[in-house]
Amino acid sequence: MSKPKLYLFAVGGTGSRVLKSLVMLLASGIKANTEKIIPMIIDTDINNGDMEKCRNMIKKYNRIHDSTYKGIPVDQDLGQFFRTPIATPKEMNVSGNDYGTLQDMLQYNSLGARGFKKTKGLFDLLYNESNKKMPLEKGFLGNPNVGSVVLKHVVESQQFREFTQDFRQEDRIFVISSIFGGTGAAGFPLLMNVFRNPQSGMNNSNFINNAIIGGTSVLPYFQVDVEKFNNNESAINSSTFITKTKAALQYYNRNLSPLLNSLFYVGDTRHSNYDNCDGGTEQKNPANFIELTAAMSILEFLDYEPAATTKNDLNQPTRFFEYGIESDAATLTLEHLKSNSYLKKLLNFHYFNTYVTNFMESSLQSRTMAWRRELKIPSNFEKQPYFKDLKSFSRQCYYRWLIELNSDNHNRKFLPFNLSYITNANELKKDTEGTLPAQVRINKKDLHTLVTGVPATKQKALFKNPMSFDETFSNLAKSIKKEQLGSTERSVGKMLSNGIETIINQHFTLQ
Amino acid sequence: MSHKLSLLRDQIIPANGWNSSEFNPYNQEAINEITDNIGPIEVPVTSIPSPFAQLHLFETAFSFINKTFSPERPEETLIGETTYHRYISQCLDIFEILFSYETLSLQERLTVEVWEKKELDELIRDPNYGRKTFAETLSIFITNYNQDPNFAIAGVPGAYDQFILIYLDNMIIAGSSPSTGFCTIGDELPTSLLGSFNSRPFFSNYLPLYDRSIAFQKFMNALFTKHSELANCFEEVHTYIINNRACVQSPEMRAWFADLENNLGETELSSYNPLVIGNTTMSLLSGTVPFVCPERSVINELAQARNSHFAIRTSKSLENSPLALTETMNKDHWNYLDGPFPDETELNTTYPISSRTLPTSTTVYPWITRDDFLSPHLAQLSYDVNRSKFWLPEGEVQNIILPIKPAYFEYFTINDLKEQLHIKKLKQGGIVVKLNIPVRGENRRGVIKFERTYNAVPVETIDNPNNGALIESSLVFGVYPFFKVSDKRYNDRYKVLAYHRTFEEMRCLFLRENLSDARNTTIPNAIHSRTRKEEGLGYITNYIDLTTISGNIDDGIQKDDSLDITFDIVAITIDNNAANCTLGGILIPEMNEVINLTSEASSISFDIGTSNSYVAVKTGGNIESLATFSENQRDGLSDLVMLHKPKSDAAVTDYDLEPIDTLYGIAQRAEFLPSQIGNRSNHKFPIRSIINVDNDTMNEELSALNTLSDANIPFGFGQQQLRPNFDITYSNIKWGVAKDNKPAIRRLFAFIEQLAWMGRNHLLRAGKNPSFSQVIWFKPLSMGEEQRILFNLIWKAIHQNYFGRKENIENLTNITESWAPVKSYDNYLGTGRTYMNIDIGGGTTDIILFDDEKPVSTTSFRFAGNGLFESLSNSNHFDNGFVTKYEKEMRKNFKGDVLKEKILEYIKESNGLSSTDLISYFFQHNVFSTSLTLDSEFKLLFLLHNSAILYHAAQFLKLSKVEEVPKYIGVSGNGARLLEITNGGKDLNRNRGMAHLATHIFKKVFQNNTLNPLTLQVLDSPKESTAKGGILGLSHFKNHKNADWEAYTIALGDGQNSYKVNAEGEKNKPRYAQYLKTEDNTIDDVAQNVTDFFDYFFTELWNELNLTSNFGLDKGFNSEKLRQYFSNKETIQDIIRKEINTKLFHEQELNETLFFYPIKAYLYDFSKVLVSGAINDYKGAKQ
Repeated sequence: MSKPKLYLFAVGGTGSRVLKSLVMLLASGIKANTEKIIPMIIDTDINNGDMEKCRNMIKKYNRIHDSTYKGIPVDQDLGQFFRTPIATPKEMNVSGNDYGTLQDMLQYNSLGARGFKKTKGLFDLLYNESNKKMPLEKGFLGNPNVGSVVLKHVVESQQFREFTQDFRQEDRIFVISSIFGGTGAAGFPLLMNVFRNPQSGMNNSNFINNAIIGGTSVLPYFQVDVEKFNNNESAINSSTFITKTKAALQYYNRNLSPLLNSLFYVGDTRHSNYDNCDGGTEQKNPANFIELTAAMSILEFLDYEPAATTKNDLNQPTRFFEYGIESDAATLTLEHLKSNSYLKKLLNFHYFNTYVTNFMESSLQSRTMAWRRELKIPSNFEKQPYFKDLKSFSRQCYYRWLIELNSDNHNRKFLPFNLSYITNANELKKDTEGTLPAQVRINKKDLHTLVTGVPATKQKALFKNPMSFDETFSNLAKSIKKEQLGSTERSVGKMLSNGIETIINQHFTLQ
Repeated sequence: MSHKLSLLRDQIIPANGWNSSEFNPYNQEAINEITDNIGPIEVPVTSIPSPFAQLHLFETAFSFINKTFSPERPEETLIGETTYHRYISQCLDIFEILFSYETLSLQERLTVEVWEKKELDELIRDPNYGRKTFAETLSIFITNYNQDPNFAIAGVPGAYDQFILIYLDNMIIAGSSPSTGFCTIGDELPTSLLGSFNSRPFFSNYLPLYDRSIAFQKFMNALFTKHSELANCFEEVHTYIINNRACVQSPEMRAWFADLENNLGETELSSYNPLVIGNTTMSLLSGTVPFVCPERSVINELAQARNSHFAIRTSKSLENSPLALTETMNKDHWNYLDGPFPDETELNTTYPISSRTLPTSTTVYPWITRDDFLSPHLAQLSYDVNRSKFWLPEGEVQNIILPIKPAYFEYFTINDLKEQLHIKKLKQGGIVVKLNIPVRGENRRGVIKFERTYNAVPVETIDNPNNGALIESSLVFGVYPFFKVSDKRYNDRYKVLAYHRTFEEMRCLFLRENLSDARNTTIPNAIHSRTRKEEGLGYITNYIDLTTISGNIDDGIQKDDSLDITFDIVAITIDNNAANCTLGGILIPEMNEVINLTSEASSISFDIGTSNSYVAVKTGGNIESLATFSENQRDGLSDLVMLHKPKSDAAVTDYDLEPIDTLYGIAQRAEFLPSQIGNRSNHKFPIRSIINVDNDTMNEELSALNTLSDANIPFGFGQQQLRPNFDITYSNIKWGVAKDNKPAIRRLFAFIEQLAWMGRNHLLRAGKNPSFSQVIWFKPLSMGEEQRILFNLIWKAIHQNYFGRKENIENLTNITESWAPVKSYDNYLGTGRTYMNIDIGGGTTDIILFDDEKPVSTTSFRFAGNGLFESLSNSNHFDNGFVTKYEKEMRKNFKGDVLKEKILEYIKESNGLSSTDLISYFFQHNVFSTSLTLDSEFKLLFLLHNSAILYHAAQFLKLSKVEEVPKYIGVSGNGARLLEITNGGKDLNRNRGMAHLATHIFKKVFQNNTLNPLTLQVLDSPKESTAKGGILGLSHFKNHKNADWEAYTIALGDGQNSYKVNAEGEKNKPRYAQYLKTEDNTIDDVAQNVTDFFDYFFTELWNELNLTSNFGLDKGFNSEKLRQYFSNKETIQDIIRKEINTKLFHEQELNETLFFYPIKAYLYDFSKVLVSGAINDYKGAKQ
């Protein structure tokens, strides 16, 4: 039986940011029990800065993935960097510009004349004046009761229709959203009501009605500048996040959770502090550890009851998931992810990025480099798209992601690796556009100092027997050459994956 | 164990990474434990991701309050101002509105519509994409909601398929909810609908269930007990209802709750009917549970209210006697409607008494409580109230305005108030005001007490409605006139004085009591603030006019005799800006019994002179000077009564405001009138003919001066300090009138009107009907035609409005000023066949020649007392030698007497006064008369002045061709006093005195040395003689009506010619214009006659009468030099010509002699010579 596809509905700003962390996890080579992840991005805010960054990152990921694994069966090369296929996101931008206000959307004033006087009355009962007249252009600004109607438009979109047409019985659906905002908070229940509505009349509705569906509700983990709300500069008032969350949680508890098979909750009492902007290009909040856990929840969901095809195959009602860390520390390191299967992959990926940014280019340019000669790497390989994408992903996405996770905005930082080798960290923090590449400068003798929290073992030995990427790779090159993998990129990819795993295994003892 | 990333603090979880559980970590219990960083305050909660979020909010609200409920402290949770409390209260309000639908008669205001899900099927097909989406979304969510197992358990299929929409006044306010019964809209709700319980406006505040009416509480409990579907589906509401029972203390209710479980609400609900609104039978849970409500029975409640023990007993005839209620009464044994008045019922006085619904009921029926009748604060005065004139209850407290609101008199009478009101002073200084309201309870002996204690504390410290603040008020108050008469046509004008300091503002309401109607009559009035805040004097003077008279002298005056403007109650509102509060109170003026008017004869005469005026009244045997109070009974009737109490041994001034406040005293003198005017007062007739006008009254723009509001006679003028710069004092009011000088007419009218009003009030006080009174006014013979018309107009208007009707116009008589005094002489020897009276006033001298008491020849000219002292300068009204000399002297004399100095300054600084007013003021001081008598230089002017009059009188007599020269010459008028100065003593008939001088002049004119010596007759009070004579001789005057007018003769002044001006057949009346023609010799002839007079004076008279010895004339004078100065014929001609030219502006026909024009000019000119070095040119030995 083929693996399920995962239709990943990332709703609102939080959804996009979680997707970004998911891309990092998948780049690190974490195995995902899926044939393919198909991001379904839903936002009313087409100019959302987070989404733009996410879109660019996935493009880079896909170029690397495609140049490495194109045409390779899904069950091969598992666990290698960039292995899991991610489809080009289907973006369902429900632009509020199209409607103006909820009242405009219904052509409220003529409802009575068209014979819908009572519905007009019901509408008046359900929505107050500010709801009715709220401009929809920048999302629902904490009014998911409005969003729950407007977002229904996504169901009518081409992308959503493609999703229903392509949906197979074994495919799964996962929804990522925040509970306290506007778009995400509204979108999650709406989607669930649509998916589970037996009278929806959509394609493959029977499959979808019965699909295994999970979702992560991200609880408040950041707050925004309340002053801006108080000064009427922003419509977002984060001082009401918790109050609103409590109200929504009651709804989830009673009305939403029965529709789901797995419901992941993650929130934090240590809040990050973000600038207050009502969406738009300014909304580029730094990556957050909570989002990383939410990204992990997607992979967790894929592993949930892997044998089950439909919800009817499950022998239990809704399962609920929550996330644990080693201790309640303000700065988390890899140590706090102890026993976590992702830890090793993150470690691998970091050394991978270290090599790509610091050493690989010179190795490729070295005529004497054994692995290069063995794998018959073309002389200008360092100028070809594969390496350029690797380097770009590493410098523009990975290191930036690390810096963001350690942002001063966070009251719970994630600092798995030593960031002092990034020489332009301050510039990167200021570069909200995300185009500035990270400058990383690491000497070979420093390689044992890259990780925080999890010490490299045999330190003494390290001095005597320092890590040597090229040596390790050169040792592997011969066997890889024998495998006749078909493309230089695939060979290099395998060499890097296996070689770095070897180095980590040699130098780190992981519980 | 690991740390859990959660919204709850310090949570643990088995392992790092994702942990799985079958339990929802965020169930209801956990949600409640999440620390809300907002707390229980107002937060708009729109975060429920469903189109039906609004419905969830209500359930969330009930749930939150239920979860935090503590049975030990139930109120703490149930009462509050949070969003949750708001939603709960609004939900309960909808239940209560529907429950009260019948009893509140909401048929006209409340409507419903039923929305059915099937309407979405239509909407989904709408071509509009947005509508389609909306319809589909609702449809999806409804499908999901309907699957809630709670509905299945309760047997309610399709709970979300139907909604009842509730509209108030066509605006949607609420709808049904499958989770709480009802929910309201998310916007502001109207508060226009009043509940029956405490008249609370629905949606106006957050009220828990246990604070609502017993009936409604029972209904909710019974409804949820009887219908388990409600308890299941509206689980949180049900829990809330049960929680509320913990707050109910009444044993009866507790027993009722206990019994509820047995009868399952059947007993309570069985008396109710299904609620039908329009065509919709109301139900809960889409028809599962019928909604019931009590039936309305208004008629029954009205009868109950009328028979209530709390219904007031009053002297008024009222259709519905209101119920007297207080919040704490302890009258459990009294019947309110159908039982005792519920304890601690809140009384809401927001609405007018007549439109209130009875507490705990929905029936509109009046009820009253303390705050309706007792003012929140008490105005305390700096003086005791004159209790004999303004009612106050017995007791120590005598310095307040009664803190009773006018609404009291809509239900009770003044006599009721006198029975009910008790005021007591506490030892600590507070004042307790208590109204014992009699009610039907206790066999009609019951009383409900409305009570408030007022203390001298700041208003902001008052935190209990049982208390009020004692606030000092600067108000003084007076009413003029303070009486009512039996003929209501004469209760036609009241003037109210009200002064206060600028930190206060004041309004008055005048009410007349109606015993048979709740509505008392409000008397229209007009308030005029003469001294206003912005004038910076620190006080405000208000004059309030209540009158049936309207219009003005320019356009006509009307009087509406159908109006009754009498009042019994004055409600006063004082805004105290310093204490930041409003003081309300009432005054009950006690005008004693109505004065009965009789038709007995009475007379009143008005002598309005140029300088002085006098009014005489005859109401009994004697002719009296006009007074504004009963001189024999000062405490009794006084026309002007002030609020303050005079001392027991009151001086005249104690009735005025001076003793209360010096500034108020000055204002009263300057702007109004003294309380007491009369012979025993400091203020008495004759008075100066002057009027004060508000300085910022624009005379040119004003159609009328309102007498005693913006114009008044300043009785204190010349005696007391007035206010320079704030009032303009005008003199010469009589002669300034001309039809094109309207301000002058208005000033004269105001002056006459005030005297007429005062005089009329004198008659009324004496019980005389003014329409039977003879009203006499006096005019000078020399009055021009235009002036005569204006005077007639004024007097007719005044007579018609103040004294009678048109038909009584024959009672209005005008008499020549000089004729009347004759009748005032008490001359038992008679006056002889021929008699001449010379009336020397301030401005005119009238001469009448009688033959057998009948006027045979009369004349008048504008040369009189003022001729000596007036200024002929256009630029300086004080330019006269007398002023130049005697102002200095008098200032020296006044030195140290600030008041006198201030009065002098006042006159000099006033724009409306002149040298004659200053001299008149000096005449008030004997030292001035004495100085003049002894002034050997100025004596020359006196002698010239008097001699000129006598000379002209003799020539006039001669031209009259009487058969014999009179033996007696009467001299009347104030100007006659000048003769005494000239004479050097009062006895004009002394040896070689004035009579001798007169005789000499008459002999000279008649060229007859055999004439008998003349005797001059002068009254003690020459000014009074005109007015008194007018009354005494009225029948005589009427019998010879117009005799003086017909005999009016003008002696041209040339000693040769005279004209009978009004004689029949006199067609060619002399005209001024003809004298200017070159061929006319009149000017030359008159100049010659004047020259002859001066020649005679400075030669024959000077020497033969030895003026220096007999009249104290300066011996240094050189009579020849003087003669040369005065007898300049050319100069005399020029003066006459100039005057004629001036006359031509106003007059065409000759109306007085030309003789005095040069005399007046010479006197003026020489007065200035006398005070200059040039006088020496006229002294020294004869050449």
